[in-house]
Formats: sequence, structure tokens, C-alpha cells
Amino acid sequence: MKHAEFALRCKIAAAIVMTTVLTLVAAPAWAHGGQSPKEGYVMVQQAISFLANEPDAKGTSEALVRVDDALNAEDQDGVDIPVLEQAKAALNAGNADGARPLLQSSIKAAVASLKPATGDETGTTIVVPPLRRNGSLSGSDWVLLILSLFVAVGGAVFSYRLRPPENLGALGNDIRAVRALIPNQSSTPSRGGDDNVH
Amino acid sequence: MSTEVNVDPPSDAAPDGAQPGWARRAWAVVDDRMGVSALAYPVPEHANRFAWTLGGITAVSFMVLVASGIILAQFYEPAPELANSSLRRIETNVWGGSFIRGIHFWAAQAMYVGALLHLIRVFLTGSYKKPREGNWLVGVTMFGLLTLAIFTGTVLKWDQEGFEALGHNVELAQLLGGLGFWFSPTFSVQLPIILRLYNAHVVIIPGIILVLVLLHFLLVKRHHMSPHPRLPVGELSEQAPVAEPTQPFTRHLRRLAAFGITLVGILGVLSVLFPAAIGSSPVAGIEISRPPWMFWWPFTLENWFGLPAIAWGEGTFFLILAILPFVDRNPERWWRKRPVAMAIALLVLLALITLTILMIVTPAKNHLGA
Repeated sequence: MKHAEFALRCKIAAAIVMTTVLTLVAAPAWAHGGQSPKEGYVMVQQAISFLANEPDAKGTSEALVRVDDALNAEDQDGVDIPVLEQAKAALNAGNADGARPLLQSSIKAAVASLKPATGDETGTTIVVPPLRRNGSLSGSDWVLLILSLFVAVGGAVFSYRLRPPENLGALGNDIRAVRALIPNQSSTPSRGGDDNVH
Repeated sequence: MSTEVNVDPPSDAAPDGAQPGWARRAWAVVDDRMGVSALAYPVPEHANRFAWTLGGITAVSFMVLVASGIILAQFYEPAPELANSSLRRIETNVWGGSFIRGIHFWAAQAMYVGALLHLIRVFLTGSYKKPREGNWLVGVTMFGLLTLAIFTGTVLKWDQEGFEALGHNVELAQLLGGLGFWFSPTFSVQLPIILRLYNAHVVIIPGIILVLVLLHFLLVKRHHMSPHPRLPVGELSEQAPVAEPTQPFTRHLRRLAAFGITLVGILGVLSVLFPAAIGSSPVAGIEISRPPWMFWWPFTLENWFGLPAIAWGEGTFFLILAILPFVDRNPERWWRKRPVAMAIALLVLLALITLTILMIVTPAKNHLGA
């Protein structure tokens, strides 16, 4: 048994070592590159995303950084610079709501010329903000809520009624009592119908 | 004597010798062919306690996920340009769409929590010990697949959060070199990666989980329910004592059904009151979102040590789980007699909880492309 255990542990260790070597040998340097696009229109999309997700001063500040990046980008294909400048002016004036449609409009030509996305391209043309609910429940929401509550309560009642007849302490006492009555009881686990069935 | 216990429905012949009713005759026809009453084999009474039904509750969550996922798949479009908008259509234009999507989202949370609690219970009661080591490994594998399913499901939203999750995945794939080839967008360059992740989410991962669930159940049947460490065991401590009363397995299934009904009701309530979110359209090159809560602890590691820490952290976690039965040779099952195992488990749990909490107070920052 000791030899078998030792052999098993050696196999596990070998598998770990092999996996580590395969990973390290095959891997290039630590993660580099990734999602740092150079296209101006993507930088404008980043600005829109900040305004959509963080509609506060921080989001506006981040958006302005991205707009400046877009204005200085080497690749400005499809970006309407005058409209982008108008958007920047709106942001500087604190008008984020007015800036967003201008930003989207400034990259209309760029996104219209996009091919279908492949690999890990986003395929995003229009940056849509997070879906927000109006907070109140509709009529059908109330029906579903009440039905669900009914089901949950019914299930809970059903679960309670099917609970075990005794707690662990009482069960333990029962077992000890049976074993005291039959001291030579086999330790082999029962597989058959000679057990008590409640 | 028969080794199976006959329970409801009773035998064909009525007590007074009269012909059984049509319902009993119909049941007998079905049972003769499908062997349903074979499910009424005896199991120890402690198997009907809540802690011993957590695995079954996890399985119920999986069934809810499959059913709700099939419905969602009728309306979801797995293309980068259309995925996010198709979800918005499900939420706003499909009757009951928001409810079904909420059920799917909350069932995923329930399955993860159920699996975690089941894993903790199995650990605390030493139920992974001989002869159940193999079944423990099957369970750990399913837990890993569940994590992957939640990851792919998050990406399929194709919103900013999902896209950032994908970005981490792509860079981790580069890190893993040969081992990460499937997660690389260049593996099948003419396809958008969302389509391959969709295939994984709806076919590959659930398919493998289904096979492993069946294996898991068969191994439980093979090895029987593990003994409860608080109950006196016989000389053979791997099994419940002969003296412990038993109940038919169908009783266990009935209690599980009751818990399952309760769970479905709770999922419905959560779905209405806390509907699943859809974020903004994805944009490359920024990180402004947080991942789902079960990924917070590796992302705190990422904040401290960089992207590779996610792979090291998750890898170490699953490695600890996998080698547990082979390293813990203490034959005791009662937790008070396993101080080393309990101490290590407590340390791991505290570390995970601390790292998770730290994520709440840490703002999202750029790691990708660094």
C-alpha cells in the first residue's frame, strides 16, 4: 500500500511539473499588447463609454482625455474632426448630455465602413448606455412576483412537512440503543430490505 | 428477501382482492418497463437532512439553467454586432423575457452557491475520504466547469463588463501559451470569438457537466451515502452504521423536489425585484467594470501582482481541492478530530473572503495591455 501511495504521489507530481514546463516553454513574455487600440474612432467610442457609464465629473474628465487622444491619433480615418472639436467644447462646458450625440456623430463615417467583426473585435458601431429600468413594477411583474412568492411559500411548507422525523441527537440515541440490543451486529453496511423503513 | 423496498404505489392487487383501478394498472405498465420503483432503495435517514441535499439542490439549479437557457437561445443572436441588442430586445420586447433572463441569472448564482456549500459540507464531514476520492475529483471538475460556464455567460452579454472579462481571458490565453490556444481569438480567426464562446456555453460545458453529474450520481449509488460524522459508525467507518434507520431514496427525492420548488419560487422573486443587468455596448481599450462576485478574489490578486496572478490564484485553488483526498490521510471524519485540515481550510476561506471584500473597496483599474 505504501508503495502504491508513493507511486501515485510521484505521478501527481510529474503531471504538475509537466504542465508547468509546457506552459512556461510555450508562453511568450508576460502579457503584453492586448486591448490598446490605435484607431481614432475607437478612442471616441471610449469617450462615449465613459460618459455612459460614469455620468459624473470623473467620467467627463476621462472622456476629455480620450477625446484629446483621438484628436492626436495617427489613424483618424472616418473621424469628423470639426464635430469632434464641438463635442470637446461641450464637454469643457460641462454639457455631457449634449456632447454624447456629437461624439457619436463624429465617427459616423468610420463605423459605417466597418466590416463584420471577427476574432475579439467588438463590432460596436453605436455605443448604447446601460439598460436602465424605471424602478416601478408593471402589472405582469406583480403577477409573476405573487406567483413566485406563492410557489416559494408552498415549497417551504412542503419541505417542512417532509422533514426528518427526529434530530441528529435522537437519531444517534436510536442507533446506540439498537446496537446495545444487538451487540454482535455486523459492521458490513446494509444493502437490503432488512432495515427499518419509515 | 427482496433487496428493494416497495413503496408508493402499492402492489397491483387491492387488499380486498378486487381488480386494481386503472391508475394502478397504468402505473404497473410504466414501472415494468421503466423500473421506476427501483429508485426506492434504502438510504440512511441522515440523507434527508438539508446538508445532504445541497448537491441535489445544485442539480435542480442546473436543470433550471438548462430550461431557461433553451428559451433564451430562441431569441439571442451570438454575433458581436447583434448580441447586446438582442438581449435588450429580450428584456423589453419579448413577453416574460426579462423574467426568464432573470431566472437564468439567479439560477447561475444559486448553482454556484449550492455547489460551494455542497463542497464545504463534503469537506466538513470528510465525505471525500476513501473510497470516495474519485467522486470528489468529479465534483471539483464540475465546479471548475461551472466557473467557466459563468464566465462564458458573462461574456455573452457582450456589454462592457463581458468584453472586459473576455479581454482578461484573451491575455491569460497568451500567457498560457500552448495550453491557452482555444481561448485565443486567432485560433479560428474567421469567426468572432463570441460564437465559439456561445457554443461552449450552450453545448460543450453543459454537455460535459451532464455526463459528470450522471457519473457523480452513479458513484454515490456505488459507494452509498457517506456516514454522518456525528452519528456512531460501525467498524467500517466508510459507511453508515447498519443500525441507522433507512428510508427509500424516493423519500429523499420528494424532499429534494420540495426544496427545488422553494428554490424556483425564490428565483422568481429575485428575478422580478432584481432583474439581470445589461451594460453599455463594449468598447476596447478601457476597464471600467467589475467582474461577477465569484471572480472578485482573483481580481484583487491581479490588482496587487498583475494579470498572471489570476491564473496562479485560480490554479492554486483548484490544485488544493484536487489533491485534498490524497494529502489528507487522517481517517477521522468528525471535524474536531481534524485540526490540521480545519486550520488550513479556515485560512483558505479567510483569504478568499478578505480578497473578495477588498475588491469592493478597490476601484477598477487598467490591467489589460499593461
